[in-house]
Amino acid sequence: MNLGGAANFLLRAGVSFAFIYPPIDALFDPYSWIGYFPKFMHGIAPDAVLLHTFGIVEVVIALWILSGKNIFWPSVSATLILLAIILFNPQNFQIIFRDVAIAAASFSLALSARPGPSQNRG
Amino acid sequence: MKISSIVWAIIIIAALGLGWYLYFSTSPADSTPSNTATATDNNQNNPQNNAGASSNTAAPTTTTATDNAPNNSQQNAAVPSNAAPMQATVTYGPNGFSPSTVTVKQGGVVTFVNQGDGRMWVASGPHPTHEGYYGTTKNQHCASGYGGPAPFDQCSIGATYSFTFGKTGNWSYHNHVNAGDTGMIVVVP
Repeated sequence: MNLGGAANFLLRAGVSFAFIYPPIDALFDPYSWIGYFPKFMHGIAPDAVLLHTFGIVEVVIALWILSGKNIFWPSVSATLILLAIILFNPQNFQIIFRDVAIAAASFSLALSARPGPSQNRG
Repeated sequence: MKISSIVWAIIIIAALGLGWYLYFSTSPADSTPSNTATATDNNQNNPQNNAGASSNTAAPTTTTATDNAPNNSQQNAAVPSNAAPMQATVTYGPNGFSPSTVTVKQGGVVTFVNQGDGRMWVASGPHPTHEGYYGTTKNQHCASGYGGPAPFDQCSIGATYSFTFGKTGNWSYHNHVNAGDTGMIVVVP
């Protein structure tokens, strides 16, 4: 049994879930999620458009990471998104502290899938 | 070598950032309120003194502000218990809630008024569960049919919202649709 592969899959599945759940829950409880957007983003577009457009991006990232194919850039994107959420919501750190762990996991995936001749496990 | 150096650099930066955050993000409740409202002080009995809210229904308690404090002046000192007002008004605008910290007596009413273009949904912290005041979550106390104590939760978007604070303590709140805007209600005996 390839435990390394299983570990990598579990890591990808965990990060993917963190990006799949919010856009789905946002369909039923949008205000709980729109609140995390920084103030300067409110007004760029209607909140619903902003929220669900971002949700589509999240779903794409999640499915791409779950696929395991060339996941360097989606993993980097996931890391940056999570870091941005942390950065713009310090007052909610008691809730979003988990994003630090998820960001570390997605960055780990990015490192494991980084393009290069010596290592490319994506 | 390079990757491990980058990882260590990120870890160190993250640790420094976390330390900075923890150092500078002392709760307003732990320090002297620097932006404390002194609204009208009327020591009359408040009919909503015990319930902790104006009703026991879970329906959104958006109300019309009618008898609010005429003006929320601000001071830079804690409000003594016997000087705390029974009513206070907090306005919401582009810069968030003002004043950000309000002190009222137990049973006092705080009215939140949206004077900006943004939407307002006042709710107890933490976002997004809102269980800070009574321990019930938003999904519980905002649900139709909820029969418990009225929550410190507007439960919907509205222009004004009033809540009677029947419990002493320091109650953080935020705008549910813009969670970066926060404030604190200090309720003294």
